[in-house]
Amino acid sequence: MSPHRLTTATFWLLLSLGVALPLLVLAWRGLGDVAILPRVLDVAGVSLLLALLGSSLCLGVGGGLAWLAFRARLHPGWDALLLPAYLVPPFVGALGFLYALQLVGLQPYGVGGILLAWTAHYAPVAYLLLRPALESKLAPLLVACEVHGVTGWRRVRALLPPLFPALIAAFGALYLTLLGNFGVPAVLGLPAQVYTLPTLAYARLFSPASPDPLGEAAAIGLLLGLLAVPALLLSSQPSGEPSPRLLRPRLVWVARMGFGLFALVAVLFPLVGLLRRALFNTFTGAFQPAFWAAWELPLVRQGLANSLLLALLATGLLLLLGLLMAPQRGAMKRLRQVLDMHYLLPGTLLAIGLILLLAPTPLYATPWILLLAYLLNFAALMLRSIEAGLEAGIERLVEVGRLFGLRQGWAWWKIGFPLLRPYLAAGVFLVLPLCLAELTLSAMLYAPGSETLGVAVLSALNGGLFREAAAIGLMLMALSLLLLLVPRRGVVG
Amino acid sequence: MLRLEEVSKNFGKAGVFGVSLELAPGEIMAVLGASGSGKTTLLNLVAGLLKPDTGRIFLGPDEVTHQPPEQRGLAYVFQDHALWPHLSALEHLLLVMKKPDREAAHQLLGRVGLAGLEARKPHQLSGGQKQRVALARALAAKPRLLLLDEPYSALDPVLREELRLEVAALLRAEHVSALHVTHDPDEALAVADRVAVMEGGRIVQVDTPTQVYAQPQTLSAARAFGRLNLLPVQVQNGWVRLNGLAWEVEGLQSGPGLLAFRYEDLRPGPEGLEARVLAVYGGRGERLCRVNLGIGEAVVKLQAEPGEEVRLSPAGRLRVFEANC
Amino acid sequence: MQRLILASFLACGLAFAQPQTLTLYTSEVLTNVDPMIELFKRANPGINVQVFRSGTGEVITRLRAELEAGNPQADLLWVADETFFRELAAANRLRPVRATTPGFPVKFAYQGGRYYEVRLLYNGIAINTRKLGNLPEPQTWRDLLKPEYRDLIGMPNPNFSGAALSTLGTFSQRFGFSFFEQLQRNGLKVEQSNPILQQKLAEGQYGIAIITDFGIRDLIRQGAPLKVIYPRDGAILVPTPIGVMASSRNPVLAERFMRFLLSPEAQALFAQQGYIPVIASAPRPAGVSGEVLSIPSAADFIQANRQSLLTQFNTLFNLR
Repeated sequence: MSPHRLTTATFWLLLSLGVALPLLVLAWRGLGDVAILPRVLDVAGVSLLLALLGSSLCLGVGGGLAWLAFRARLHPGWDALLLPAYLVPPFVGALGFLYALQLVGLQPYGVGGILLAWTAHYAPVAYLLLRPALESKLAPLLVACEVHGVTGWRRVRALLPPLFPALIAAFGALYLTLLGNFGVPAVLGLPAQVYTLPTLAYARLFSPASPDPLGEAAAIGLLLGLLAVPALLLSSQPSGEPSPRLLRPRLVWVARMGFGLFALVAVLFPLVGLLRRALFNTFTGAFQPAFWAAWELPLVRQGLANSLLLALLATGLLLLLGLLMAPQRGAMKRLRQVLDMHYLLPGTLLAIGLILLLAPTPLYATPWILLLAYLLNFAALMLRSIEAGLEAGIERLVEVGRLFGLRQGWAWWKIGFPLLRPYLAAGVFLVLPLCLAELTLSAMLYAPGSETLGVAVLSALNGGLFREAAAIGLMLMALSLLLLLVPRRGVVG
Repeated sequence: MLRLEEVSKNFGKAGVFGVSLELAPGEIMAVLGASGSGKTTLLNLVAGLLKPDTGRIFLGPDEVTHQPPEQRGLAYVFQDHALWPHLSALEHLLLVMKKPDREAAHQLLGRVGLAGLEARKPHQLSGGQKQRVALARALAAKPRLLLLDEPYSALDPVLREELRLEVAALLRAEHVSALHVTHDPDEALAVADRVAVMEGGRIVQVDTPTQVYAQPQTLSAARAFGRLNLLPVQVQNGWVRLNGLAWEVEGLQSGPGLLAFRYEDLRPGPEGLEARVLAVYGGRGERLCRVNLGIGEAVVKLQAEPGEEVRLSPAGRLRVFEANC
Repeated sequence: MQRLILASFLACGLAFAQPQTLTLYTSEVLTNVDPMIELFKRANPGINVQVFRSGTGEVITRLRAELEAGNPQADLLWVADETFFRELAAANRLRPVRATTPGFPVKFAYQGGRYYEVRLLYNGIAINTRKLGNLPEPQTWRDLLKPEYRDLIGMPNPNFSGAALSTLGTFSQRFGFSFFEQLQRNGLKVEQSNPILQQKLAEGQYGIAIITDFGIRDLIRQGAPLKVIYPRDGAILVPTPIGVMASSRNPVLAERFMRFLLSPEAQALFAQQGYIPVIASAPRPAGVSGEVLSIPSAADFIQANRQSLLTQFNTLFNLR
């Protein structure tokens, strides 16, 4: 190996170790407390089961909608009925279901409520993952089936197997997300003593009954990591191309009704719950909007300021990183692969690792630790988005510019970056809302003065300020839905 | 202008192997070969988009083997145009000009037939118009050498022939050297001063188009131009015997081989090989017959009707290639 | 470009860190502590007070972790767990403050003035009159074991709520832990915190709650069908003291905040919020007349048995 390559290899090794440091510290500390693991195996079981069940439900509902949309050749405009459910932060949706189910006299806490909130939020993800696969993989096969008169069971046998890779990949991605999801089980599980591993780690971290809260949380984190690892192998992104226009629309009304029903249950229902709580006095039924009372809470204003600042800073810095790295695709891809661990693994692991690592430093209990956590958590997402652009041919068009005598920097400035704009925008609109409504990391890492909006909701909820929580939830919902209005440009080329 | 010395780039199965080539100033050379023969790789090596494993590349007096593409002073016309989607036709030209000159850019666009379309972006242009932008861009860069990679393959036949001749004329007028990759023999015949035939990553023959067509040195060079019949024969001391006739041949002197001849190489006459016409079809402006020669079937340029019996003999000496290559 | 980034970093840093900032760690409900801080800020302009608010258990765990890491953030601690104050006082982590306010009963300045009671909080019984309907109101703690109240009763989680820990310790000492086993058999359910429990009580998800008194009075004001009952055998006086951390970076300011809580206007605000002020001359909250019949919280017992009490309770109610 040449000295240059040795230096490069050493650099990447050190960088990977540095990025992995929180996880390594977590593993080290967690191994010291594995003794508690037998006592939390039941929670691990619940977590696993919930994640598996939830993923199947999301895949069923989202996949079903994707199939209907595919068969009915629904215009992409119909997606607007599904997207709000995805754009609303999951714990706000959970809050909405909490109030809405109470409104109709149902018990929202526990497994049922969690699964409902998850399905409402993540079924659109399954839809977005599967629809392109259906269009690219299935459309030509379905045309062939129709032409050759293949129907019934034989048609299922002809169409299903080609979809397996996409289904498995979507299932893996959903499983990882649900396993690590904190907000929904925190809102709908914790009050009923239904724990998942992320909420248990949170509960242990703040439990006075535990002799070593951090160690126990780390051990639970370790277990969570263990459950996540198998799915890491499944999570590749399925891709797709537009389908031939030969397919005749079928089941159009069923598809439209399906989309409408989903919007009704997943968006309107929780919205009504939130509105009812936020606008009317719970006891007297009088019209008494709680928005002002919520706004009066210093926690809320502080949370809004911090969330906005952190979201803008994190997104801006990641954008900058992406722009700097874009001209070196190989290096960027490797960096993204290194950072993938914090994006794919549950955020709880990163949070505990950062506490272990940084508690004795002045960074702890400042917003900067949150910024660091956000950066580590969401970097891969931004880089993936830019990578998609580079892979869609932008890198080649820059090369063409260089061939015509443009210097590297100039070629990127005149060709690469302008063409990357839609991908950068896509990255921003992925990362910004996630940062704005972040809860998993914030709940564990916040300190007085560095509360976020998510923490404000959780605190209001824990403080019995149900109506104020609903009001903040509505605020967050509105903020997220604003993003629906941002025009989404397709990829140029 | 361009000199390649033993340039190799190995991709495992495919690649370019020990290619040497020289291009005179103002010369247009076509690189002809089947897909996968290494033509595009060769072009990318010259462009600097790929680095050769071994060998050296010279442009004019300078060795450019290790120069980055932007320092080589080349232009490239791609099969898929590779236009910049966010730039107008005019901006394409201005961006690549060493000294951006709107006047000159307008003129050039006019010369390639795009007057009035200067402000259009690629998605507002037709396929032929896009190809003209790509070409104007290449000319605007005032390259030392122009590289063309199957530039017309996406166009319809009429447009293709029209553009092909226009471009060749333009290049000659500007005295630009060009390396033109194609798999279409008509294109090579129409535009090139010389043709380099590639096969399996190697150059098997370099010569004028007519010479390569008439005197292919290898079987693959013969195949590259199409219109080819191959019949298995036995050669003995430079002669093949067919149904009692003996034809003197070139190439292989004895042993089993493939007798290669173009459609127009056999002519009807009072003497010659007996042949029965099996089918007749109209080629482009000519009449071709599939005939049974007794030793196999072949296509011959011939005025005849199906079922007719004719006698055919070679117009000159035919060539026999070794059967196993 | 780089300079711009640096500048924006600095600007953000300034935005985050304000001068003259007090950090208060408390289990006080936000809607009560926020107006109190507003009142303090009006009297002391230019001073910012940051609040970390959670259940007593969480506040303590957090502070403990910070102390362990040698990086405590709190200037002031105000939670409903006297045992933790004792522990801090013993480790010299609290700064003594002399009691100088006239009318302040010295018995509420604990450990030689290392931490103070600033208003009184009782654990009593709260009922939802609508939900209870024709059932008789419970009058003593033991009434809660009657089968007619089956599945109607809730209490907050003692892991989280200091007041509930007080309940757990005091009853365990007085009636034995079996009292909770009997309650559990009578369908007692555990909610996370007092505020959550009182909301659910008000909404009719419970009929009876073993709960702190002040919040119920607040909800009654908002129109909830609730009533506070101080049992005949004595409501539990829950210590909810406040103290200044020895590690405070702003000890003078912190002391000023503490003294402010004993001032007439602060005491009046406490009464308005439904608490019983510690200064006898201060006004009483609406609906409370005279002394509350009370028993002290079993602080010594809790300090000695805290871990085992919680473990027993957690096992009984399947809490983590």
